[in-house]
Amino acid sequence: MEAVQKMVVLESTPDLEKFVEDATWKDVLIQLVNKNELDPWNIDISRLVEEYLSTIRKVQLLDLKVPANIMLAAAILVRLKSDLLNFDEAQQEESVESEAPMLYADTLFPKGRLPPKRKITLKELIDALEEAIKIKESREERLAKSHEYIPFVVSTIDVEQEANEIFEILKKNADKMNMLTFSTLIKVAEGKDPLLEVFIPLLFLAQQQKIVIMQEEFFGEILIKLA
Amino acid sequence: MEGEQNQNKNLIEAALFMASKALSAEEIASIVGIGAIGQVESYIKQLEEDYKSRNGALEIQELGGKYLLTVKEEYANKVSSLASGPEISKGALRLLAYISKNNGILQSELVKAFGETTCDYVKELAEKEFVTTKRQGRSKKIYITQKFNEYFSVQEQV
Repeated sequence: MEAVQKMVVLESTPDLEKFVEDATWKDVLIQLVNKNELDPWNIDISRLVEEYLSTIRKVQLLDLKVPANIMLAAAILVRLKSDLLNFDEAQQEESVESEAPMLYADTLFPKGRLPPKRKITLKELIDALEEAIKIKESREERLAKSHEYIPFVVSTIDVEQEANEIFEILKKNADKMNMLTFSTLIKVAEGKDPLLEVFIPLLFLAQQQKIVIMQEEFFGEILIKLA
Repeated sequence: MEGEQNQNKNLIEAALFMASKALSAEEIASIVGIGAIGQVESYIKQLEEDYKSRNGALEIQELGGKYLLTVKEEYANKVSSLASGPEISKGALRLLAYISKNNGILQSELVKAFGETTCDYVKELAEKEFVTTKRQGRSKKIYITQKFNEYFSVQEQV
């Protein structure tokens, strides 16, 4: 009966609709409390929600901000209420109901403890020793390897000497015009690598201006002329 | 008077339970607010006896002069999954095992054998009082502690 009366009062407040529309959740609650429609120490959330729902049914325009605001307000109220509940002292609370409610949050503390660390068994210690020895050995092996000399053969070509040899071959085999083709040179300089031991020395000779190298077409015949 | 004694003993038991790590008599004394260390030690001895006569799953162990309320070895394995992790990290345990076989080894030798992480592990082991270090030139020698012997010899009996 009383609830119905209160509901009527709340519905009749003209600006509920309005402030729910614009206000933040805090304003919603403060306004309700100020109007004495809610006991701040004992807010009936289900009543609040019911009233809100009946209000919102009357509102034709759908604005998601409105339900979001009231839902947030309700959620915060539930949270605050549950924080205040102290199950251990529930009985005691009943007997002092008339007194001003107290905040019990401070008296709530975890009764448990952190789980202790597991003890290491002797077997684990022995296993660890085996592992340690293995790791040490494999490390030693790796380190030993890192100091090992790996033979890496680099063919050493004395370019200067090669160039002289090629120059001699050129002089011997050049035609009357003092010219020779690269393909002929390769054939004459038998047993020599055409690229490393013939072509590169030629570049050196050209650089020393002992010969002139010509190529009329790309990938075509290279002509060598003694300077 | 007897009630007060019981209160103190219970408080020490509560401290040992909550700590879930080994506490020294001094630490316990400051927690429970008893000035006399000898008094605290006698309470701990009483508690040890209490647990022994109860013949349950728990016992008070003395490790390197500290006290630990712990699960008896025969039950520890079955409930170890509830623990928050091993007491010594894997890498540090490996090193500890190696040190125990080479007591008094130089840290520099350990670094040579196991790499740079060794220094952190030695620090961990020293903090947990399984090893002590002694300066030796630019490096330090590492020794196994009394706690180590107690910790592992307890389990040798099993």
